[in-house]
Amino acid sequence: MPSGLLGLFGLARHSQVRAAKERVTELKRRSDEAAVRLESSRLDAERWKWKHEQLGTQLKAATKDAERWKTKTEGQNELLAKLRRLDAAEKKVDLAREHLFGMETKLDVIEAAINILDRRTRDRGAGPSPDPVPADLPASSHRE
Amino acid sequence: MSDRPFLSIVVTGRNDDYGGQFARRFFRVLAFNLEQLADRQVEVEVRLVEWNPIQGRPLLAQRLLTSLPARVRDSVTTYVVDGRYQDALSLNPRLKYLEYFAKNVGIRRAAGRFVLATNTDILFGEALVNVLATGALHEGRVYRANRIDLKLGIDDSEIHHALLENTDNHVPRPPIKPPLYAGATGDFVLLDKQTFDRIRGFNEIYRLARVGVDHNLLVKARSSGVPIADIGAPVYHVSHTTSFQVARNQASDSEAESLWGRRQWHQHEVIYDNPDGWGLAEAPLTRIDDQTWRVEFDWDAVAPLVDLRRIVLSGMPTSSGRSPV
Repeated sequence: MPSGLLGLFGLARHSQVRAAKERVTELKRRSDEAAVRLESSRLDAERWKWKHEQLGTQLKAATKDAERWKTKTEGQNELLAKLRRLDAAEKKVDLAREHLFGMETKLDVIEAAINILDRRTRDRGAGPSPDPVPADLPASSHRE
Repeated sequence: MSDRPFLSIVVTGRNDDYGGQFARRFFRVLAFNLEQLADRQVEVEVRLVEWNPIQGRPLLAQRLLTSLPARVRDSVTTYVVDGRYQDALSLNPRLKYLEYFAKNVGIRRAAGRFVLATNTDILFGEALVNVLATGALHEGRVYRANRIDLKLGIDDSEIHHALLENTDNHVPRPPIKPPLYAGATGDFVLLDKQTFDRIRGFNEIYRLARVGVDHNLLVKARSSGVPIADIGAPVYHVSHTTSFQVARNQASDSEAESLWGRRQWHQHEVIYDNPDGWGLAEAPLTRIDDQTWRVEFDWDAVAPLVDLRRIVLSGMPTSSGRSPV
């Protein structure tokens, strides 16, 4: 700071001027450094913003994929369940068919036996005997 | 011959001229087979079952014994089965010959270590005789053979191996395939006697059919855990007018029913559990001569017409064992 007589005339000592110049230079350097840091921060901020946007897009895509896979998996599980039900149904049908064949064979045998017995009865030449009528019922009584 | 022959051959027939010149065809075939086996020292017996013989005609057994060469004649035993069994057992009056009941009569009474149920028109080729001569058969296994049909009308005045093996004389037919090796099964079912007894012979429960009863035995065997194999050597079939392959498209419905009975039945799916007395085991025997027995009629030997418990789905347990499947 100018002081004394020189100061009255608006003048300063050389050392004071040099010191002031050095401060100015220092302040300017700091200012430049701050400007560089600011620019760097701005770039960083833009990069992070861009990264954020990219991540946001990727996240959206991944969410979409996840949704699609979830739907697909659910569809596949449903299909697997259907196949299992179909397999069980086929087994039941096979079993039912086998039992049907068994029943048909039994019916064949029963029908054939009835025909044989009928033929034997007829071959004996005897007519059918009347149904026995219980003693306590009139002969004309109908059966329901 | 030792007490127990290696092989029992079971065949059935009667003096009814089945297929034309039945007796001639049968005698020649049997003589050819037996002589080959005798040449290779295979100990063999024949159980001929003469089912429901025709009244007024000579027995096939009597004609056979006078026709066979002396050196093989003694190997034949005939069971002449009273005709009343056909009527008492049949569930199909149109079906005139319960072939597999007849075969069961022979199988039940066979004495051999192995039993071959075959037909009267089946010739053994050289390869088959070789297999039998080596004795390399396993017990507990059904053996089947491919059948080669000889063309109808070939000159068979003299039967010899060259005639059988000449492919010009063959009618093509598909080979037998696993697992059942089915196809003309009634012509060749070879099994050890013990296992034949365990599965109780052919189906005696479903008595409406002749066709398919042979196949049904294979289903039963497999269901009982008995494996089936190709013996690896063919047999040769002398074609005649009533051969199934020849007549099946020519016979009228009534002729077909008379020959083969019901043709559509569940032979692949439904099996049987024959009663203890299968093969007319309870029937009394009367000796006619040294080699001929009469199977007398007795109601005690006749199983009921209907016994529904004995109709079983394949894979279900029977008295002969449960399917391993």
